[in-house]
Amino acid sequence: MKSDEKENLLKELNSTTTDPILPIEKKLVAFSVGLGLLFLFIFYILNYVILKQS
Amino acid sequence: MNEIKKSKWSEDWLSVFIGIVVVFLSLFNIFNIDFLGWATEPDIWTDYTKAFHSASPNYSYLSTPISILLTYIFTASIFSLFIRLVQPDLKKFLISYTFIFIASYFCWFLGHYAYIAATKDKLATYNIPWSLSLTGEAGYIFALVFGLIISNFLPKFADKVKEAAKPELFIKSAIVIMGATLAVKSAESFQLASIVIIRGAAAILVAYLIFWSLVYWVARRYFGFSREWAVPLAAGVSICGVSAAIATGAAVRSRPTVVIMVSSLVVIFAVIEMLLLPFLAQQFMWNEPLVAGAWMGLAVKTDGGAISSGAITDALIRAKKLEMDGVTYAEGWITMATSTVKMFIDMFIGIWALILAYIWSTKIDATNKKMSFNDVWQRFPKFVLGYILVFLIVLLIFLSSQTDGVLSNNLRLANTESNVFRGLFFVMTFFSIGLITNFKKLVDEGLTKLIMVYVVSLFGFIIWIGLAIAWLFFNGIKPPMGNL
Repeated sequence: MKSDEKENLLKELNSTTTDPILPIEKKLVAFSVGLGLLFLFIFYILNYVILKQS
Repeated sequence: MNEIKKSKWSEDWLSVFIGIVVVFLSLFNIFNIDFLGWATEPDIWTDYTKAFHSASPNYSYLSTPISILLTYIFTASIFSLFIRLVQPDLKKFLISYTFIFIASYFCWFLGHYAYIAATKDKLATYNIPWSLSLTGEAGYIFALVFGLIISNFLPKFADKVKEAAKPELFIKSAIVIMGATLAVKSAESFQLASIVIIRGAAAILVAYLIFWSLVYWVARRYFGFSREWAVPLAAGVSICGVSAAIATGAAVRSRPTVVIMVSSLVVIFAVIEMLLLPFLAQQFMWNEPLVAGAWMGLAVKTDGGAISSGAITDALIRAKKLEMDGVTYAEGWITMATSTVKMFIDMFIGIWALILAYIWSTKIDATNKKMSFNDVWQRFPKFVLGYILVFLIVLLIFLSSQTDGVLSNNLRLANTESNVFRGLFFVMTFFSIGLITNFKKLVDEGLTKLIMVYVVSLFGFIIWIGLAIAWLFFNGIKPPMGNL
């Protein structure tokens, strides 16, 4: 790693300003968590049914 | 960081070639031709003269130095062969490679010292009263630390020997080879306990859809990380560790240095988890053994770390159950829950990287609104293709050979042999990461922020959500009875 590259990385890490969160990122996070919880629920029900049958 | 020169071949493609060559040569065992059986890796030892053995009994007559020398010559040749496509100065590469090989191999050997590596259940086997119980994975940490020491305290020397320090190339090659290992494990696990599969599938949803998004949000919203940092950080913290950080980092075109720094944290925290979680599981989950096993798969980041934790948990919980209830569970079921969960998670790396590559190239970094196949293809981590290809081929061969005991055994031998190189490439990755990374200044000035988001995410919610999910899907399922 070159020294100027290291400096840049440090600046980035310590930077208090960052690129703004885009609507697509909010959508991605919301959709992903929502879908995850939905699948979790579906899998849990399937799992419950399978366990009851076995 | 050494940058690969502009070429139509990337490190991604080189890793695919290297991984496939290793697996291809090992598969000759199917025809009873043993090309790679001389390869050797350290085993846990108390007497260093007995630390090594060749991967195949066909080469047991070879002395340890010859086996190590052959392992060196083979790997140096294969890397030189392909590195020529992108890097013309082969002499410098070879000198550096030799140093990295020797240093990595020594750390690997040291990490297998029984007082460091032996798990509690193996103390009697090695006739030792105590051990740090770090498993052989400790060699990776030694390699990382050794590399960091050289890089930070002998920077001029580090500059001279880092020509071949290419962690991405090493680890991607290892991941391609890992496709074969997982294929064999899959076939065996499916046979042994298909009931665990649906629960393992749930881990995928937890790992990527819930964990990744939450960590990404925390990193972006509360710690102000840029997208370039937040993507691999979220992947690394959330569940899949180094390989996920690399795959997703590549998908959104994070700089290699960013991915390396995240990967280094993943490794360090995985060690902390390995030391902590199995004992917590023993204390509080000895009556729910498969919950504990799945929890290790969900909570501990690196593959090696997770499966090692599963094995330790297996031993600790079985001992505790015997002590409390006089009941002896069969060995290996807790570890199997861990490895099944981990296997599904690993399989999802490529899919998530592809999804991120699509979103990034169409919505975030888009230079135009329309996205071509080429945009996605350029961002897609090619080593994932090698990983999937190897996985499918070995799985198909293994499944078709199950009625043939000799063929199955030959395939397992092939897997053992290729796995030696996977382990070697892993330890070289860790040493290379150390060798090219000067943390001294980062620790003083900047790494704190990275550590903070990691600690907040991991100990704040990931471990506990993982525990809840593991309990939801695995509670009440007990391993069969067996002998301790």
